[in-house]
Amino acid sequence: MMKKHLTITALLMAGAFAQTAMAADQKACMHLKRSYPVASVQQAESNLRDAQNGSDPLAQAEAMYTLAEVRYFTADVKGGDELVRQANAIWSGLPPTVPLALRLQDEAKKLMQAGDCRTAATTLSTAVSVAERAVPADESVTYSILGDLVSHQAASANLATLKQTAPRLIAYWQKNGEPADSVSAPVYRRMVELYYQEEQYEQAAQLAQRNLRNGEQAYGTDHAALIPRLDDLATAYYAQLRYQDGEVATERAAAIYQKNNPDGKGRFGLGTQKKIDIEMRRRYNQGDVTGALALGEQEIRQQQQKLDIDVQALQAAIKALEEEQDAARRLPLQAAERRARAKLMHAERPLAALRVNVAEILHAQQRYDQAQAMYQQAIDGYARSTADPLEAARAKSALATLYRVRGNVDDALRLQSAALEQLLPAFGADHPDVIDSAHELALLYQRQGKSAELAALAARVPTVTQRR
Amino acid sequence: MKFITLPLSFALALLASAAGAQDSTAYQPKFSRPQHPAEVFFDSCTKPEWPRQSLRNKESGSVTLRFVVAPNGRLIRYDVLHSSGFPMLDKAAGAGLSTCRFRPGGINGKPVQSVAYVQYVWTLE
Repeated sequence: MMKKHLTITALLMAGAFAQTAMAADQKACMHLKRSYPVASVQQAESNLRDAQNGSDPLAQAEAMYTLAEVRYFTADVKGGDELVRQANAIWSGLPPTVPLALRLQDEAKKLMQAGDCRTAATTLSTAVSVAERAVPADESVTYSILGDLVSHQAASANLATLKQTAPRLIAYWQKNGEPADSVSAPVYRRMVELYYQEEQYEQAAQLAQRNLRNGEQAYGTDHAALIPRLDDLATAYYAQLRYQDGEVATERAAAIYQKNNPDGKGRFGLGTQKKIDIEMRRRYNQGDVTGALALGEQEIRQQQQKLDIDVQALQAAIKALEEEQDAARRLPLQAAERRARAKLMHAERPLAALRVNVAEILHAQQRYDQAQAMYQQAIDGYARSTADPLEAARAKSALATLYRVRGNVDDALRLQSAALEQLLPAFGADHPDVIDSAHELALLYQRQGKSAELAALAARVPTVTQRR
Repeated sequence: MKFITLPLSFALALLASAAGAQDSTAYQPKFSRPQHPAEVFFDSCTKPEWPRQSLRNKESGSVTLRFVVAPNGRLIRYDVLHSSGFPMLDKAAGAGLSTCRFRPGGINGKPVQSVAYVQYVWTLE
């Protein structure tokens, strides 16, 4: 049985999670399944006894590791941990030398290859400690081992320990030059993640910028490897409310994505409907209102035709199901009916959204009868669809505005009130749609002399009293 | 009490003066505003983990989640819009994707509280 996850949004391209795998994973411990240890428990215990009788503490510690490995394999985690602890105590108690530190580093690499990630981390920590105390000291060895440890922590997303080790390594890199991008990038990304979690956004932005610069030097300015770094930078900017800076980074990442995936739907899945929205907006804002309307109406016709086919398919599926009496043969027909129904519900949403756009243009042109009918069709379509009720709430708010302008205060009040009750909890009191809706409602309350309701509304959406 | 009622009266008076102007103001279509919804940066998080019990029970399905995102891109909360039919899968998808970072939605070049939608599909093959 295979697990498979898929993530889909209207705006999501296929394989988005593929980018999640970071370069660090190639270097670091992979938590591989261990092969059966060469030594049996009895053999490993015997070897340890022999080593303990000897005078070589290194041999003793290595025998402890072998036995620990066997114990881990037999699910004796506590026993294995205790042996690892004892072995590291032996190493830590030996005279600290660079060769010992390097030997431990090699030991850790073997452990990583074997997939014993936890023991590898412990060993690297001991190796760092030995290297730091070694006489004569060799800073390059210390930081080489620290680099392995930090890479390991970064790959295993161990942010708590990374916080203790990475800043020191990063400072060393800054002073002595960056290592290969494949080494530094995963560390920077994890540290950005850590700083973001801890709401230290300035530090997150600084590291993201550095990681981006390194990536540009390593790969050029439009390589896909820059996308996650730009995302890191963007999120750090957004968090500081540097929205425009964030947008620049996000848009650049989107452009790189598009360049590297020319046949894809775009970074955030620029679907057909979104493209139509953008084109309608462009035409409208350039004064080509007729063109915007024509595009919207044409798309509605086309989508309606497709929807009609989906309706027929559903009707056929329902009929086939009704005519089939055999329980076994009904099963696939039931599945087909569900699929046809889901497809139809899915198709209703973009059509409803298009209708709202067109209705808004008609509304602005004061073609109220047409606008009202179009809004209503959109709201009905949303009700049949799988769309978020929030989308329908926006349409309801616009229709309520139309009702108010036409003097239909009761319906306007009912609809606007319902819309606001949905919009406010989702978008908050500062959102333009909420402010518009609240202001419309305030006007209606004011007209009807409902001062208590008006005061309650002003308490919930304070900006309604500031707007003129 | 006066402290409260005086500003409110003033505010209501402001509204009354605005009311007449609003009727004659041409409707400005909302779709015409430069805007984008909130987005999920999927490269900032890892895949949700399949709950062991769900796996044992061979549960699968599709859950649609709505993420409410603050103007600074931080997640405020998530809601299950359409359940997979299995609460554990819904919760695992929500918890996993909540670790993602977000691009806040924007209107007229300003960040706004907004929503991002993700449909997460758990399938067994």
